Amino acid sequence: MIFTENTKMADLIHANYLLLSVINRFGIKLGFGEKSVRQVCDEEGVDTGFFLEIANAFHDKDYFPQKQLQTYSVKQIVDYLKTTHNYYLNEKVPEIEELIDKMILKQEGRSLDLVRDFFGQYRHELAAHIRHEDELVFPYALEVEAFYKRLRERGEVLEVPSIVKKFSMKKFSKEHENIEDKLYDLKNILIKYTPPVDDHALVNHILFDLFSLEKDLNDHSRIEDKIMVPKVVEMEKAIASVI
Amino acid sequence: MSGISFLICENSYIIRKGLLRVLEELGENVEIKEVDGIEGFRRHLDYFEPDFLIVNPQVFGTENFFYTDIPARLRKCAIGLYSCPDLPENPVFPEFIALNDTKSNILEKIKSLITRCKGENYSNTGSSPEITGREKLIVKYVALGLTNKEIADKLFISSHTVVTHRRNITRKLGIKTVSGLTVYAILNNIVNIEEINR
Ligand SMILES: [Fe+2]
Ligand SMILES: [Fe+2]
Repeated sequence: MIFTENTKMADLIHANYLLLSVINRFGIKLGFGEKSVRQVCDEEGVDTGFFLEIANAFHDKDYFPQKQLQTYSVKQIVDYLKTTHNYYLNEKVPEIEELIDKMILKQEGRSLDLVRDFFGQYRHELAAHIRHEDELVFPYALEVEAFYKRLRERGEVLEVPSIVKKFSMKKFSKEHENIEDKLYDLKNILIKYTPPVDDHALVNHILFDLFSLEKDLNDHSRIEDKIMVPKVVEMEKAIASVI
Repeated sequence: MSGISFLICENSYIIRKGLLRVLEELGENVEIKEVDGIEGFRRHLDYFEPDFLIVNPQVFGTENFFYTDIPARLRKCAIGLYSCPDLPENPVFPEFIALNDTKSNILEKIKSLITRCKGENYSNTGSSPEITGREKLIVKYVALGLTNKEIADKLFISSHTVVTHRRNITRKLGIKTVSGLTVYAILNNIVNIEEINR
C-alpha cells in the first residue's frame, strides 16, 4: 500500500503500527479523527510531501522515491534523521539497558552479565555510527546543498568549500554499515542460548524491544540510503558539471 | 559478514517482483535492489556496487549497452533476462534466464554463476542444523580472537574453507558477529572467560 495525501492519518497506523514513532518524530500527536494526511500535516506545519516520502519509505522496503515529488530539502531530511538518532541513543537504548539491568537484579548469574556487556558494546558501536553521521556525513550533505543553491542563484563559478571536496556520498554509501547485526545476535542469544529466566514478561518485553529497534534501524538506514543519498548525489553531479 | 548483493534491471513490475521472490530463496544474507529503467540503473551504480546484475537487455534498446552501460568489473557477473526462450546468437552475458525457466532452474543458474565468480561453492542446503565438531572448533578460535587466516593455518585448510564454515555457523546459530559468537562460545562452555582475557 502506498500512502497518499488523501489517506486517512489513522489508516497509516492501522497499516503499520511502527509508523507511530515516525509520526511522533514529526511532532504529530494522536487524536486526528477522520482527517487525511494532508489536513493533519497542514495543521501541524509539517511538509506533506516530505512526510509521505518518509512514511512510504519506512513502510515499504521496495518503495523508491519519485523524482517529481522531491520538493523537500536535504535540510529536512537531515533534521528528521537527527531526531531519529536522538531517539535511539537517548530514549530507546537506555530503556532496553534498564530492562536488562532489571533482569540481572532478579536473576543472578554470569550469563546475564555477558548479555549486558554485549549490549553495552552494541551501544558504543551505535553511538560511533551515529556520531560519524551527525558530525561528518550530515554537515557534508548540508554543505553540498548550500553550495548547490548558491551556484544556481549566482550562475557563476565559485570557490568550492573544502568539505565538499573531501567527501562524497558514494564514499558514504560504500562504507555505510548496517548496525543491526549485533541486535540480531542478541535476540538469538536470548531466545536460544541464555539459561531460562523466570520472569517471562520481562524477557518478552526485552525481546519485543529488540525486534522493533532492529526493524526501526533498518528502516532508518533505508531512508538514509534511498532518500538522502540519491538527492545529494544529484547535487554532486550538478556541481561537478559546472566546476 | 560476507553477503551477496544483486541489482535487478527490468521494466516489468510483475517480473521484477517474481524474480525477487526467487532470489529470496538464496538465504538471508542476500541484498537485492531493483530498478525499472536505464535512469535508475545508472543512478544506482553511482553509489551501490552490487556483486551481480540481472538485466533485461530490452530495457536498454541498443546493441552495445553491455559495453557502454555495464562496468567492466560486472560484465563477468551479469545475467541476461530474456522474455523469449530463444537466446541471442552471440551471447554477451555469461549466464541467462528465460521467462519460462522453472524456479529451480533459475536458482541453479544463479548459484553456478556465484560459484564461478566467487570461487567458492554456494549452496545453503543439505547440511545438518546442528553445528559440527569442526565448526565448534572454529567458533572457539573466533572467540579467542584468531583471524580467518590464522584459523586456516592452524587447521591446515584454505581461508576460503574457513569463510564457508563461518557462513554455515552463522546460518545455523543465527549469530553474525565475532562478539556474538564469543558470548555463544562462553555460554556453551566452548571457551572460558579466563582463556579469552588472556
Ligand atoms: Fe543514521
Ligand atoms: Fe546510518
